[in-house]
Amino acid sequence: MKRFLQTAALSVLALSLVAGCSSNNGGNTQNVTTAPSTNATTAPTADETKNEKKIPITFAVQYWSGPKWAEDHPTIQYLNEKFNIDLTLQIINGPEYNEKLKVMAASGTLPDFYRVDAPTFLAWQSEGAFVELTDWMPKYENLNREYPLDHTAMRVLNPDGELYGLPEISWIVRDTVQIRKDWLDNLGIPVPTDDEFTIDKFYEIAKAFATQDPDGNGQNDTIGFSGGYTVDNLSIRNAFGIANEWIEKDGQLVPHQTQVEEYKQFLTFMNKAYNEGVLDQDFVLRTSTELSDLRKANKLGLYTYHNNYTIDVEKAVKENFPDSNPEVVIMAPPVGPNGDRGNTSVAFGMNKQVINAKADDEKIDRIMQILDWWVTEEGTQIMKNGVEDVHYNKNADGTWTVTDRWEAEMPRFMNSNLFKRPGTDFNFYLWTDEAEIQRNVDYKARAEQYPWNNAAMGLEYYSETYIAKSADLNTKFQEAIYKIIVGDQPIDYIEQASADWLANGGAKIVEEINAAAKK
Amino acid sequence: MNQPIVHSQPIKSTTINSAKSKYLRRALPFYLMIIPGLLYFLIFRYGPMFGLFIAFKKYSPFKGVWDSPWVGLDHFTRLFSETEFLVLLKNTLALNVLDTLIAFPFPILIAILLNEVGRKYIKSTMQTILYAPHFLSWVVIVGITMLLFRSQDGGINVILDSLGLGKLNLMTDSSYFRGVWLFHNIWQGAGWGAIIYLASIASIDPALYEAATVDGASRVRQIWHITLPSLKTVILIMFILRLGNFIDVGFEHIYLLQNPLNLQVSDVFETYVYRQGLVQGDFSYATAIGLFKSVVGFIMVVSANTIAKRFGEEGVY
Repeated sequence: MKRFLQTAALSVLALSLVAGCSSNNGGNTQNVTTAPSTNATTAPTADETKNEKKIPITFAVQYWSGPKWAEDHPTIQYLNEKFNIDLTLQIINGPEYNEKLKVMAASGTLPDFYRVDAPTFLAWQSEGAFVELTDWMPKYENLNREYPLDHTAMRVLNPDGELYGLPEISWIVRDTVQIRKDWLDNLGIPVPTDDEFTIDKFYEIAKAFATQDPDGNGQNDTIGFSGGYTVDNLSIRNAFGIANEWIEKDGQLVPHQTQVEEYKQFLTFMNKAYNEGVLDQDFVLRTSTELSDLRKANKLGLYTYHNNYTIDVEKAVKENFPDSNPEVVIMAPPVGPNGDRGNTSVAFGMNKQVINAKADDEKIDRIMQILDWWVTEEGTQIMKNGVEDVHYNKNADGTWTVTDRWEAEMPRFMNSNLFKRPGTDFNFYLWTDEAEIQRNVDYKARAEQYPWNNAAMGLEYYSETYIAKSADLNTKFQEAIYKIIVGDQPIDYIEQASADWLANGGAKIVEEINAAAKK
Repeated sequence: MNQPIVHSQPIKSTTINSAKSKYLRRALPFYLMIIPGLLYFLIFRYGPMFGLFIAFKKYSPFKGVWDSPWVGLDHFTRLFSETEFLVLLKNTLALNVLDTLIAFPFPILIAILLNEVGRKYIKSTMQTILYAPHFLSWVVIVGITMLLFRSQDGGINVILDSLGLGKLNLMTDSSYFRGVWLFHNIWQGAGWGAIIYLASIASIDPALYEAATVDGASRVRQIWHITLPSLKTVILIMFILRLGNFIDVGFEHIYLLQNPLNLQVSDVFETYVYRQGLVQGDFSYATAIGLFKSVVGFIMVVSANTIAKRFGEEGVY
């Protein structure tokens, strides 16, 4: 009965949340104390002879979570004054971003500077949507130094000798397997070493988490592991030797859809996990937001995630459950039956930050000036930490203190979501201590220890069939995978799915990619 | 305004002219009142039809509508030769047949039953309760269903499981999909749809009922011989209009209920248009599919109307 009441109460609460959110949407959730930023000691000195004309500039930024920037955000004011511009931010919800861009394109209202993903980049680049930057780059020495023209990430997806957008140069491997050590302790399971952490050990831990009440709240409400088969479980796929998209076999590039034997092993594992309740029974329905909520709600303790776990998981669980003592440990990816193990490598250079071809030379120059300044130490510090005396203060002893407005106004927003200096130090702030920096360095080394690379990275987009058909083909293939995992179809059904994939266009894709690789 | 109209006419005008202008004077305000509605249809309904011709072009947002190259019927050939086409057609028709056969009669049933409720306050309370769901959006309705029926932690499933009855995989088992969709449609739409029938019932001459009572007809007989025949025209009009949407199922509801496990029964033209048009950015192809759907809808309405007229009914035009 108690359980029923709880669930009922939760349902009602969730409903009221839906209502609450919809009324809140348009509003701005910040409680800004009105301190005019013009008084700030760091007020920029505009180079007046250089940027005489004030021009309007629009940036589009993907929004994921946290407070939204107001139109008069101190950082926007700072940029407006420094570069004599009138900056407008179009803040677009992350999941809808790509669709919104296409609608904007059709209505001719694309922003001046924005980020596009690889398929959009290729489709639009050939239609002349972006400014070609090769001749512009040398004029901006900071930018040119940080983003050298011959860098792989700069070259990828661009025609020879041309440059239509700046790539993101950051993580090689971003995510790795993480476990709640306090849950392991509660169950009396020691943290496995790299050698001990086999796929069977992974299963054993997940099963214990699902069935033995690791959080000790007396209820059987925890999940073994979750996520769609691509969202959260890539390291499991990798353990069975399934390619990160493409793998090289006997000098040929082979797509993962044709690795039938590997898939059979993987699917047997997943099907067993689903049947025994080790795999979340709703894994098909979970969105990334829901997964994040499950981790914070003390329900999911074994997952693949990035290095923000201390804030996103440990801190959140501690806040929601003051009695708990959350501690996350970073693991190597589990090792499979044939000794395969790996964390999926990020496809770098696939996202491009582009300038709209409609911009005139003056506007291009102004945007390039901003980027050129952004990658300098001074620029990066402001784009990360915010404006001094507004978002943080310098103490007499040389240390730094953040103000109330730092969390409320999120000055790091554009640096995190639009453009940044190459590197992985984007979440180090002036006040980040040595221990935290060391933790990040350790994390990076650990995550990148077992990379799982895509042998055809970037080549996919030279295949016309891939661009036209891959989305639909992959939907079909994934549908088969899900059906096998939940037991709607037998394991051998993968043979059929793989054959269908090849027959409906996959074979052509393999041919075109291999041809592109030989060039 | 109050001036006698006849006096303002020039003396030489004939009686016919004067009658005509008298009519115009009297009708003018009504014509003026039509204008906003007419403009709405011209600007927002007929105007955009102009863009339909991108269905015959390979539209690129950067080249613009005019400079994009013509491709003739390529998009239509692609649609009809796509392996998915038959699946989409089958799913769309299956959902519409179900909806027309099962959900369509519900508002009529509700209207008749409500009409039989004697006490006014019970009747109006019932009516309010029945049409309240109309004001909930699909996001909320699907959200509630998810909360109640998720396999891992859905409220009802937790209860079922604790009673040892096993879980009901309502959201992930594809065999439930059509049932859930239909139930949502009835729950959300039936009460609201009943309003038009209630209005028609209210206009039935009470003398008919009185006469029937005197002749000793029971309540059921009265419904069968008086209420239903009086509703016939409205039902037929609603039915013809419903047929016009026979190849539409509404995007939002389906999209929210869709997941990889029920794709084989939940993939319909709307979701396909969304994937091709917005996700892949192929506007021309999506427009071609839209045009195809409109043509089918048009044919359905015209033929249903013709059949209705042949049987001596009024039809919609």
